[in-house]
Amino acid sequence: MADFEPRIVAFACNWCSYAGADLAGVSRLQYPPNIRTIRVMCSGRVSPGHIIRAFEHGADGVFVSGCHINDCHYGFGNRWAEKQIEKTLKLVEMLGIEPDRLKLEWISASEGEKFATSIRTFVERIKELGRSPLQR
Amino acid sequence: MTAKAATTGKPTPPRGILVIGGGVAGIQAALDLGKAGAKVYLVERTPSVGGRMAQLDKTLPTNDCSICILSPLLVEALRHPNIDLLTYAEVTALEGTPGNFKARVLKRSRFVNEHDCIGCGVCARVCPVSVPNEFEAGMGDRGAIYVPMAQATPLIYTIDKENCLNFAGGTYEPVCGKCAEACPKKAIDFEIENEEIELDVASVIVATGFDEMNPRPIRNLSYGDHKDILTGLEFERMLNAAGPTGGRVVKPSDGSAPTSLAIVQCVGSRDERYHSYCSRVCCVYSVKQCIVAKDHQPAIKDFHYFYRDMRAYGRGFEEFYHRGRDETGVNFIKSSPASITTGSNDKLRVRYEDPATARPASVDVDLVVLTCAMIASAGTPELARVLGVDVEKDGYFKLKDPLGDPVASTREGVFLCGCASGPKDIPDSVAQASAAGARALAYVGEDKSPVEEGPLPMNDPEEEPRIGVFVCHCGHNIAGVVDSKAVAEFAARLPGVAYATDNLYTCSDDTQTKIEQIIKRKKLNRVVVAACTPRTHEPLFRETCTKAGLNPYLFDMANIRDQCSWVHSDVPEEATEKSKDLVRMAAFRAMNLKPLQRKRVEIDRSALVLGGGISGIQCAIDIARQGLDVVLIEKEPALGGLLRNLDHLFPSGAAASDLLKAKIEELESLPIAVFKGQEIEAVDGFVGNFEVKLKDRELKTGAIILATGGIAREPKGRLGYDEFDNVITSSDFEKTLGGTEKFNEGEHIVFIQCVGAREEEGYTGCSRYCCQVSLKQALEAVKRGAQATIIHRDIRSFTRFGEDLYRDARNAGVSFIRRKDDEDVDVRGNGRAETLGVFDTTLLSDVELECDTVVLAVPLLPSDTTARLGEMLRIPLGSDGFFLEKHIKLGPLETNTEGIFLCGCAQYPKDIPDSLAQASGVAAKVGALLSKPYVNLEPATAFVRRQLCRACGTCVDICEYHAPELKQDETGEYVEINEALCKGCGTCASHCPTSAIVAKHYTDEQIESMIDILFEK
Repeated sequence: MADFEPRIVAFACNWCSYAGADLAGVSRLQYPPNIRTIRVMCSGRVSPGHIIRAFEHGADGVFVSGCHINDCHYGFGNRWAEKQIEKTLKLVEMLGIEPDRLKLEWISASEGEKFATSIRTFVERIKELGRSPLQR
Repeated sequence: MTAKAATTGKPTPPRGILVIGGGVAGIQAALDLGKAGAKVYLVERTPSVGGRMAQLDKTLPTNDCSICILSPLLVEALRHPNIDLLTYAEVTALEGTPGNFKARVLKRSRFVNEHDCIGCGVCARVCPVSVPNEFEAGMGDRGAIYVPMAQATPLIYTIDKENCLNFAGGTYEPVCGKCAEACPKKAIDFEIENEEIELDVASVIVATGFDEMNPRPIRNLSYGDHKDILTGLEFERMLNAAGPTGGRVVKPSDGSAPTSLAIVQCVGSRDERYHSYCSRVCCVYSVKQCIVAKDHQPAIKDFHYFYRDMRAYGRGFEEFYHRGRDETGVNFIKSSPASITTGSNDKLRVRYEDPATARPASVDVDLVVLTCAMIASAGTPELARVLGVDVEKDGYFKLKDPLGDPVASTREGVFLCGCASGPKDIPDSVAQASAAGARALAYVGEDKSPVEEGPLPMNDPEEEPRIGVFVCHCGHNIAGVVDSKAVAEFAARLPGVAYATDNLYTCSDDTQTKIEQIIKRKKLNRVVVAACTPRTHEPLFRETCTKAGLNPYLFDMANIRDQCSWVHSDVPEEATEKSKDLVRMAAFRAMNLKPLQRKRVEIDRSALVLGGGISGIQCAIDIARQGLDVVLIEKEPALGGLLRNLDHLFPSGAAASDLLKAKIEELESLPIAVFKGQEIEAVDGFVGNFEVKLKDRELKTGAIILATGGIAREPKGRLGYDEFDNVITSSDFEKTLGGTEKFNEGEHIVFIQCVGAREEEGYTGCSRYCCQVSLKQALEAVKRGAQATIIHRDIRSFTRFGEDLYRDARNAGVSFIRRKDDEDVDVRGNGRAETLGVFDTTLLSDVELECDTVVLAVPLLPSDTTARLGEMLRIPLGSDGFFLEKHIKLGPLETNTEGIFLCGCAQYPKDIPDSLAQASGVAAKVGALLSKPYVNLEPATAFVRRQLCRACGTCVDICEYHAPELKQDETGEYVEINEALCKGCGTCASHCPTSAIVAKHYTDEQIESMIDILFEK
């Protein structure tokens, strides 16, 4: 699996994490090109259905990012997202997918560095895990 | 207040407002005024707008692409129905009285028919003439027919008569004619004459900006003798990807890559032989240039940065300075070079006094950058004569009252903003521009016609999709990594795609026109732009769609720059593949997009100002002067805020109490409701319709302004403050100075700067105003018979007359000791502080001082209500604890929440003129918001499909805004979502157990289509 390039779906909230990802760009911080980002207004918009669908269709990992707790543009959308992810992790395990393939991170608009680092770390971890069990 | 409208009986064209100068300040003023409904004539001397900011590569401290954030504003101004852009034009006369001026404008002939030119540039390619391009700071060439830059707004070519062969003899004699022959539109006409235009204007805003001083006269620095010595602006163009070297850092002498660089600060600034003032922006822009240069040219090993005082005073600047030091490895040397000469191996030798040894030293470098003084723009004296206003002895336009009114010129009805009245950073220029706008607006009276925002064009959602895809090169930014052409070709083959192309700059004015035409011609019903980030550019493209008759919600973007080419520059092939995926996802989402209609809601045309300090007072005054209702709320029993702690004010020496008294009298003369001793207890509602609960009443308001100020930090546990009675703070000492009594002969007052600011932990930034407070106090103390010493790290007297104050203090005998950044002063004594020990970095030794009084300059902290208000209003705070503005450069007056604004020290510490400018600026923004009796609500909200709703109440629990409401009728219980309250986050939709809730524009269908297509084999 040396040349395994994982395919990762990332969700980023418009106000913090998407802006953080933009900042990583503005700061020219390099990270592996394995993610395809879907912008949502709030991390709370991401439903278990979206995540499971991504795994079913071929994602090796799903990365969800939102504002830090207490920073949510909409108040508590990210807290709801946190609960959704906990729930989804159970579904993921039931499907025989390693829980590490689903990651939730809080990334603010000023954390370009954190966005880049988080993606780097996540891609490495997925590479260790190899192709998703649903795709083998 | 407002001038009376002319009552001649017959209809006359509305009196407009004349804005002179199309840089970022002029553009901002024009946009604010246009939105508030005033007719604006924006006169720009050069062929296109954008000014200095358009020349910059990056803005700091975010290193955001300068043209990228500016360009949408330029295009917006060009397209605004209330703004007439008069480029290549000059004001030649201003007669009449405030409220009823007549201005004459000379619109110079471009010899190109403005309506016919399509900006294709064929003419420029055949022009035989080659002259240095002013826009490239003389580093690149242009023809006699030219546009200054690729993203010129308007994109119309201009023949420069001075250099065109056909005008060699002064008048037109056909000699060449190549351009006219080549022009596909036959737009070139050598006989077009200059045009004289007469305009009725109520008031005038001068935003003429600055020029860079030519450092040639400073002979010891050898500018002009060696090609490898550049000015700051020349270097900025070199760093720009669209500049003369395509962003490569090279030695102009031989084109090779430099390995070492010297930066020299204060060239012609803070120097009485040339310009005695501080140019205010150079210290940090040079740090930025080092960071960017290292990024563009990793071969550069050494940056030798020569400076006098590091003036990193803005939000995030101190941290930015540290980034330059720690990450880029810039070697900061506190010394002014004595000379620059030719050294060994074609290098340049910089000689200086080494501050570490106090001995002469030298260093050989490949490239030298001189950060030259910002001087008043050429033509300032002539324009001043035309306008009948005064200039300062330093060449800039003169402010009538620099302390109490940061925008009024010496002639009533004529206002100054941006660098026209002295060097300034972008956010300060923008804030001032809005302030000048607010003042100018008061003279227009009822001659306002806000642009009505009608319903959006609606398309048939069931129509077969015909998607248009536009892939941007963004100059080198995207196309340097991603194969934009290949991405466009890929897009053309996608199902539903009817048209796909690639553009050099998709955001430019000409491309907007092109997109508009293509949408119509190709009958497109969906548009995808693959370019930069939707966060900045989606509004622009949506507007273009609307203009083309396409519903703007049938548009999507693929971010192939910020989140692709910029972060995968080392793997261009993968970046191209990723771009294709992102385009494919956007195109499939586009297929599933639905047209949305905006909803109009009535608004309360009133404003509520929170905080009765000088900022809040000024803001309330300027809003009231526009005829709007204002309420001012102050938590203390008296108005005045921080100003009540001050005695006399710099630079005029006026008593703080006099200034405050005058402002309060003005406030009281206007119909403004003032509630003292009151605080907000709860806030509900949204833009235009806020409901605010006070202790004893409830108020409705359309806008909220945060002017809550700050509080001085108490230096507990620092420098003997707890132990010794004679260790006091600046505010305490201000009270001592309140009287007139003299100090004892020789009494020694020692000021210690940065007590609790610019620290590694906690308060990392600069508090901006303390240096000048201590200079003012020390000078006064010396005048009254005391001795004074200021122990500092850098003297940051960067404001308009700050350098004069510093010089006066030195001349009056105030002593200065620069201490080490990381070593505190040792305060010793017994009951009272008696001696101070400090390492003097100039003498390079420990010194002991006897002291009678020690004054600690402490930073300003956010006021104690900030955190609570931030939570209540959902306004984020910066790492410094102050309210965060919408955009660090271009949005200093707004917050992230529509209808909530901020001014003064609520944003970060500021002096009085900057606070007043911001306060008046907010008034302009509020005026624009409340110019109409309605606002249009964002249509991307959620709705409930009633047949699926089981009224479980999950959404009601989730929503912070109380948008979903449980209802009941004869058929049973159900939930309905109040669109006016819904913010469109979509959290309810993802939690609805029966999927009854649809989050418009982010529907499950739309999200899932992106996932599905991504993995389609």
